[in-house]
Amino acid sequence: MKKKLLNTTQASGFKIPENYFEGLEDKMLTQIHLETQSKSSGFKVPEDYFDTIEASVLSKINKPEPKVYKLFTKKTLLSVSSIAAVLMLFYSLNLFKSSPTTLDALDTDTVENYILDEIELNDLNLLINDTELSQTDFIDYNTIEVDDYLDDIDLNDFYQE
Amino acid sequence: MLQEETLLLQQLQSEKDKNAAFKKLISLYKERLYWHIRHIVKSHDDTDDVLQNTFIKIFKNINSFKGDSKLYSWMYRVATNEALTHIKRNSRIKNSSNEEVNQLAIDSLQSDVYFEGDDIQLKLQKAIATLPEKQQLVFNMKYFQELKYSELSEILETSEGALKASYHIAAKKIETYLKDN
Repeated sequence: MKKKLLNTTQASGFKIPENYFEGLEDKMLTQIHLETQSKSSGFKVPEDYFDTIEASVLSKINKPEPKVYKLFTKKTLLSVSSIAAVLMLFYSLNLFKSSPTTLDALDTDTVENYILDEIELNDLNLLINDTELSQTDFIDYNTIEVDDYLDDIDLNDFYQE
Repeated sequence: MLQEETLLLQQLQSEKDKNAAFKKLISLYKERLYWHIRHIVKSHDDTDDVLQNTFIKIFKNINSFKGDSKLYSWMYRVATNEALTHIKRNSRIKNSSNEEVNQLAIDSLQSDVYFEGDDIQLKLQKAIATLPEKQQLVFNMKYFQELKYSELSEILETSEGALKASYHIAAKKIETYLKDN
């Protein structure tokens, strides 16, 4: 007798996924083991919960939304940035810097430049009390340096050959 | 989409019929969505919060639903995202990982008045908690909620083949856990 194969494609036209039968026993057994232990989760719901849920949700969606006030509106940003710009301007113009209170705080160069730029020669005359000035008045004598110089002099240098 | 669903969607997206249609939507899906969320967050109180947020989100976003999937698939997806976000938010507040938060939720099941499970059901929950997030989802939806693979595929946007594989791996792991514990 010819051995007839069960469920061949030729016979019925039905096909099965590849490797379907492999692992099927294993999968079925796992499923059975689990289901015999417990099919339910044990989770419980309070009585009448599902009757009240609709009302709860509908009340929440129909509630008017609380008014939201934007913290950073265009208006506030504009006013804040303009204030900042004015402060920057003041700072760069040194309006916040306190002016030097003593003349000693100024360095010599600044004073010199001021005198050269601002003061006329005639004005200077008013400041000087001595009626006669000589060149020597402007020589800055440093006695220590002079002594050292004198020590260093070799008299022979002064004799011309 | 089914004709019924198409009609319901039309009503949901119309200003005039919106509220009445939404009431109908809640009554049609409240239990399914509840259990889906419950299996993710475990406690009834958390589920209540998430379920209400889910419906509110659905209501607010119904006009942007394009109908490129079934309405209930979309709703399940919103519910899943809300539930997972809830867990993430909890873990941030408690400064612990998602797994730790889940573990805490399961540990407190024993004293939870809305858990009437026996030892084996508690063990089953612990076993499920050892699985990666996606496998947990697949297992819960297939084993407890008995959704079809075609439905799962639409909701989770994964191929049926991958879902079947995922489910069997999960089931096997759980079986082993129950044997060893």
